[in-house]
Amino acid sequence: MAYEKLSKNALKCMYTATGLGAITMIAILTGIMCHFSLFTMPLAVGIYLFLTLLMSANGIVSPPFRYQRYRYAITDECIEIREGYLWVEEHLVPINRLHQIAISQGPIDRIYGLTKVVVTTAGGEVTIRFLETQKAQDIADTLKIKINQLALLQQTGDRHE
Amino acid sequence: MNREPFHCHPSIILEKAGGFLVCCILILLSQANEILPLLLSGQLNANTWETAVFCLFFMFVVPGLIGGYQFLSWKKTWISLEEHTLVIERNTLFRKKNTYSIPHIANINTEQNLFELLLHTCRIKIDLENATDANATDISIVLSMKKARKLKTLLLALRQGESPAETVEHLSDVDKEAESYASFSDILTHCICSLSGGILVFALFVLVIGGLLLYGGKLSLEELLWEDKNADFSMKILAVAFLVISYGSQIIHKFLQFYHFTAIRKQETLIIRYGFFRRQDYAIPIRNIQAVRIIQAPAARLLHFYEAQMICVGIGDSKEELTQLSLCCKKSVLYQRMGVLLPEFSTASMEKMHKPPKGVSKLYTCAFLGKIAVLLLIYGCLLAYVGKSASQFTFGISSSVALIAVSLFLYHLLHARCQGFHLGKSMAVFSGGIMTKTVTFLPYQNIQRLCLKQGPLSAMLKMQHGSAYILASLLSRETAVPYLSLEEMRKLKENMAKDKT
Repeated sequence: MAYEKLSKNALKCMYTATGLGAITMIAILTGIMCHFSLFTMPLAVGIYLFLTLLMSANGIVSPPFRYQRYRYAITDECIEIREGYLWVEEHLVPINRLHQIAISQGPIDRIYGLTKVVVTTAGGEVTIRFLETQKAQDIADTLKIKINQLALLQQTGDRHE
Repeated sequence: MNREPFHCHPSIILEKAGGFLVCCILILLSQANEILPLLLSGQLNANTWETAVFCLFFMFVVPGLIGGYQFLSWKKTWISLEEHTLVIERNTLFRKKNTYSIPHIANINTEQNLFELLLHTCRIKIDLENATDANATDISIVLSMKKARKLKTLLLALRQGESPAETVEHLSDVDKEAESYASFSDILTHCICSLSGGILVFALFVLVIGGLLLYGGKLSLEELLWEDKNADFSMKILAVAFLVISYGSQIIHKFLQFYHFTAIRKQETLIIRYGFFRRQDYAIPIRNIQAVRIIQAPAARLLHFYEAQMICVGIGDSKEELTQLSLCCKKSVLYQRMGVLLPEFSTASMEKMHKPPKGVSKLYTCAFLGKIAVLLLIYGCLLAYVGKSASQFTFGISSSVALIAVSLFLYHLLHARCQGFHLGKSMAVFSGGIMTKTVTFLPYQNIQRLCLKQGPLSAMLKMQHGSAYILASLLSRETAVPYLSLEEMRKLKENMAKDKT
């Protein structure tokens, strides 16, 4: 199976999203520490520093790993996506189980010209992230054609039965 | 049944407004100390007029408005059958006309609660073959028993493309067979054997607390049996009795749920009936059954009993909707029953199950040691925080940590022992659980998607685990796939992707 990798913009998008997430979390944590006057307690300060360091390190280290690990493949039979950082997740969706295809773009995606393709089955949905907009459109179109072909085949089969 | 539009049974007005009326009564009761003197004296003055208005509002205005709205909703809601569609039209504040395709009806079930049992009415619950509403019943209609039977027969006939007369014949055959209910001893065995681990832990708790209450003080066995009983003793007995009754009520509740349990296959439909206070009657097309589960609760594991349940769209949306196929019984009896009810799922292939790859024990050991390390770190921090002087806290913390460590060990041991799999030609069989062991039979064609996970250690040992997702209600949608070698996982993926039936 030939896997496809993501464009360089995806890495920038990952850095931005993870960085913003880390900054938000640190701000919330700082707010809690100030509100409950926890900066006077050595144990609380220790935990605060540990968590802040952990989130900052994650914001710097995880994007390149996630970028390297992220790959997807679309064949005649199924869609396969591999993603993750320390724990790798692999999603597999047979084409003939697809019910719906959607394209979506968040604000950070829009900055980098990226788009998500969301494929829905009766058992939930799977998302192919960080795709260039034109590529996402092509994938959605290809999948739509495949779904239509399968539906036609099924209808023909039903009529023969 | 002719095809003229019809209403639900009028009892639905009382059923829907009942909750609000009870609320009004409770509000009035909460103000009883002010309302009663006013009613008894019957004199209105500057001090009591506010209470009088309050009383009138909750006695007449609110019930009148709610009752009136429910009456209008009932009066202006029409149900009709047009060609191959079921149409429900509401002309209340918001106009709505829903048209449902009868051939796409997944299940037509009937249900009777105590109120409906007394009024001789019944609720028809219809579920459609769609994924978006798999968590809730799509259509619910309350009718008199006679009308409900006729509507069900007509809908079944239209769904199966046969004449209502043929359907009536099939159903009457089922009625004759359905007279062979599960026996009293079968249901009782099931109720005891299927008690969950949590309830068994609760039983242990009852025993320990009861023992402590009765024998923990100065009370000896002689005193308990022969000596004069004082008020303190009576309180202890009352507390123990309360614990025992609350435990016994779980068994009685289960018994009433499974009262007159029957499961029969008629051609391509499964008929399931059960219940005492809430009578349920399901007609499930075989093609809608997504998976079968063989379950062994802790007591059943000790006694070598097995029960079977199904995963199917439209059943299991609420707690009362049980997905039972077979009550607890011995393995040979279960295979025989399932062979008659659902030969498609070949439950006997449970015998072909393998244990997970050898490396799994290493994974579980590492996971256990990792958690113990975190636990010890927390323990160390707590001890440092509490200080050495507070010895009563130190003892409490140490015993809690020891208890958590033992529980973690048991959790990992039991979890590892329940794991197993078999990849057959048309379906995958996965087993898992902790105290309750569950074996799931998943036809490849029903697996909608797979999500596989691999941590750093499992990557080193070349293994993966994850979840398989099927079309079912939210609680039953996910089935855990145990650790498999990459070769076996590849086989599973291939079988799933290639099965286009």
